[in-house]
Amino acid sequence: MTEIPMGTLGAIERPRRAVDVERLVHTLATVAGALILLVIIVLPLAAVFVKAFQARDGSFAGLANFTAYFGNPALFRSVWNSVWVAGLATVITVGLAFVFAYGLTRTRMRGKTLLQLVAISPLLTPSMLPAISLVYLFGNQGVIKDWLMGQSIYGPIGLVAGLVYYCFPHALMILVTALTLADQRLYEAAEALGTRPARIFRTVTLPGIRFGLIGAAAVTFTLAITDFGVAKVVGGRFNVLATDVYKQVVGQNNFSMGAVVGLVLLIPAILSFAVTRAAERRQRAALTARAVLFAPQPASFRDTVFLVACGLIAVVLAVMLGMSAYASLVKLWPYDLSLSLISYDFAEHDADGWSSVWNSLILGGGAAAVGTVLVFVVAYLVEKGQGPRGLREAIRVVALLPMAVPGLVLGIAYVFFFNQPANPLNGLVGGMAILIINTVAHFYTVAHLTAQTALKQIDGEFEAVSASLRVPQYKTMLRVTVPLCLPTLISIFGYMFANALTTASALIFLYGPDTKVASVAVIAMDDAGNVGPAAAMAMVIVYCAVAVRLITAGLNHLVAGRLQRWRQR
Amino acid sequence: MTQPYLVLSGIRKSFGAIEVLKGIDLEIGTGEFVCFLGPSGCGKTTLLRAIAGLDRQTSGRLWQAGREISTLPPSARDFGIVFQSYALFPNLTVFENIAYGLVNRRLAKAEIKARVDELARLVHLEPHIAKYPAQLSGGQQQRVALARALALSPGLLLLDEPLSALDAQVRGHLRAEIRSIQRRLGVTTIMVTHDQEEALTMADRIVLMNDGRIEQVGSPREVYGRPATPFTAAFIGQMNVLSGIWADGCARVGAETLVAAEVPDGLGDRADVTVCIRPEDIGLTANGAAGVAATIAGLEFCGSFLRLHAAAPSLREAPIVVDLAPERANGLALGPGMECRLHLPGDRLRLYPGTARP
Ligand SMILES: Nc1ncnc2c1ncn2[C@@H]1O[C@H](COP(=O)(O)OP(=O)(O)OP(=O)(O)O)[C@@H](O)[C@H]1O
Ligand SMILES: [Mg+2]
Repeated sequence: MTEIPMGTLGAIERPRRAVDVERLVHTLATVAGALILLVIIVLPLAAVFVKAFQARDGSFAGLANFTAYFGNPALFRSVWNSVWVAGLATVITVGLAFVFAYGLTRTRMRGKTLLQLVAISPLLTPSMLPAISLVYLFGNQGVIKDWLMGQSIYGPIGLVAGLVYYCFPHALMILVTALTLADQRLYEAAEALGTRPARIFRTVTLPGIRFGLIGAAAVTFTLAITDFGVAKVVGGRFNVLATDVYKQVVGQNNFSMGAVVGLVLLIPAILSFAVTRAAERRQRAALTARAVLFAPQPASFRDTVFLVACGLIAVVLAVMLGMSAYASLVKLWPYDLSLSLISYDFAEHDADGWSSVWNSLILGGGAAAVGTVLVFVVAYLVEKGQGPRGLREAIRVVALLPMAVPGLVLGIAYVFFFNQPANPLNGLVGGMAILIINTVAHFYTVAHLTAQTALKQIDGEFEAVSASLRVPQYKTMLRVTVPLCLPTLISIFGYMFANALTTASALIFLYGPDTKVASVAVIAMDDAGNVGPAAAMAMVIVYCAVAVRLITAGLNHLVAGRLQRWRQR
Repeated sequence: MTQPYLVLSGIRKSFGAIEVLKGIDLEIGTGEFVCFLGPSGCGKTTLLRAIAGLDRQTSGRLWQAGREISTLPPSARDFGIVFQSYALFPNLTVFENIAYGLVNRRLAKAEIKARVDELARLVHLEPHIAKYPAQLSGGQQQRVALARALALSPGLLLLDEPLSALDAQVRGHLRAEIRSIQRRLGVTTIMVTHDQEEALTMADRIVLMNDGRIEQVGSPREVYGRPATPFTAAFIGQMNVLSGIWADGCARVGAETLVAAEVPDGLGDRADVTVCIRPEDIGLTANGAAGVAATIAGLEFCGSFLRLHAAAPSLREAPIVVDLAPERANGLALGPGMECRLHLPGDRLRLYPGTARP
């Protein structure tokens, strides 16, 4: 082989491009994406760590805050309170959710669609709502107050009950997935060997879903221990970590102590995050590609038993929602039970009136729009971009972080980080922008994973084909990738929007005089003793969240019709 | 070869610590149809992607049409590519897929339409132009991918196992069609395949690769008839591989002495030698004193020929494979257990220094 191949080389050679412009643009965009995630996720969390080691005046305090915290019996008792309440709520939730999931996946009971709808309805409610319903049911003037036999709903009983309601759909979804991923052939083999049902359950069913059970328990425990809404409304004088953070930061302006409690709260969240990720990986590996999905046979006795059990659970869930819906329509509980919309006249009960609802919708729309675009573009750059590999890996890791961070901790993180006068973004404090940014960060992980999964399913050679046809990659993204991902984009939009409406935990630290949102108004009115209007506001949130879900479902239906056109033969 | 169209010089590629391409030098002429052939994982796709600029080589240089392209991004090179998955855009019609690269050229609508119609005619897709890819058969999707790759009249066409997802009949038909289109357009083409039959029937030249290196380059006739290495000999077609010792200008294999017409350089006395012979080159007679004594161990009917497994204890333990034309076999009344004589003509023996795989 000759070293320099052709004599004509110099003559025909066209001017070589000095830089690959497309790669440069990708690199810059990836850097920009990484910087955004740095500012909205990493740096605020770092601020919590820094703050925990600072004295009130900002000087370095070493471990002084921690010794002060663990030396204070009142504060330290909250740790124990939180742990056992969340633990009890976890046991009950996972137990009930298991029965329900088993009924949905392993029996032929009737009314599955309706039962499932009721079961996931708590996803569309702010966590204050079950607590408010509990007050109407079991409070001092509650409908069925006697059922508690003299115990007060304010305290651990109310906390556990409210948390079970709030966590139920999360545990249910994980267990349904786990139970769906069962291999029918294992059951057929067991039955062919004449194994008794109880033994099949013990030797096939339980081992098959043990990762699902672990995952459900971990997620439930984290949700329960970090929830703020239930604790705020029915916690009473029973102190838990979530309310302690709030009291330290908002009540006493003791940021350092708030940071310490926040870090304590981060421990179970991070542990459960690690457990869930591990469980997910094992679960997926357990089902081989050749497995046959389980399809239950009819069995009238079993189906009836599960219909009754699941029906009962669904009725309780429906009552919890219905109680607030009803109470919000009553003129003056419990004296005048005639129906009226007086509780919905929010201006009478709260300085901000209906404007907090509009704020919520602006926040939801803003977070959904900004979040969907940001999440998709960043996920695209990570999965299909030409930016530096290391940077893309780093973004992948950072994108998982918010899942392990309770909203409450993210809220104080934003206070600590953005409130510093030295921060150039300090001007955002108190405005709608910071609420939007915070909400996007709060729900980033699930949105990112959804986008990532969709992008991974798209043929990896589209970009290569487009380069060979000398079409810039962004054009192929707009013309092919985005249309193919449209259902995913709509889901992310709906997810961000609905969650922005119902969440309160981070926003409670961040709203300003002009940006109070509906979920914060619920807490404020409940605090002021206006429980009826609080229930009404919670119901407005539910109605809005339902509307968002219906609209996005409708959109998805339209898009699916178009996708179908591409697929039909 | 005339002026080479594509020149590769010292191409190496590593993924982390693993070197996948270990120095590739190659020249490809204008209008040639070249097949990269080799076992799975030998680096064929990696080399193709380096030529396209999709996975830049770790070191080495490339020239295309006299222009150095070593560091150019794919979009600045001149090639069309068809992937094994076809990578058709599912949300675009056949027309839009073929026109994808043309639209970006800001051509007039009528011009685009004329070009797409021409391409559709070329690959026999006119009736399907308005359909979506999912509504087409695998073979039709393959043609769309081909038409799309040819739309900008690239100087170089790259095909990565374009036929492997199709069933045998469609594959055979498309082989001929791709080849005739390529001849008509005169586009220099590289096709990756691990199917030797595909390479033998389609290629002007075969580049046989093994473990990141080029084992042999040559016409199908050359690589089949005159394999340069024992690897080529064993990889392409059926081959009997025998191990022996070189002594007195002969190869001693077992108790037999074989005399080859052609002897490679570098064979010292008492050195190991590998002797190869194709099954169809071995002669077989029912009796007589000449030849190697053997017993027929089994017969397979293979359509156009008969394959025998003959145990020849004086040569080696494993049976020797012999292919006979049916008219030869008919006169012999062959059956298992029958004694016979094998004849290994000296002009068909290929000798290689050293011992082949054990
Ligand atoms: N992106 C990558 N990262 C790491 N290793 C890779 C990568 N791509 C390919 N390899 C490795 O390089 C080697 C050659 O791969 P290549 O795809 O070129 O093989 P191939 O000859 O095309 O094989 P096949 O016939 O199976 O397609 C393989 O061992 C493969 O595992
Ligand atoms: Mg390959």
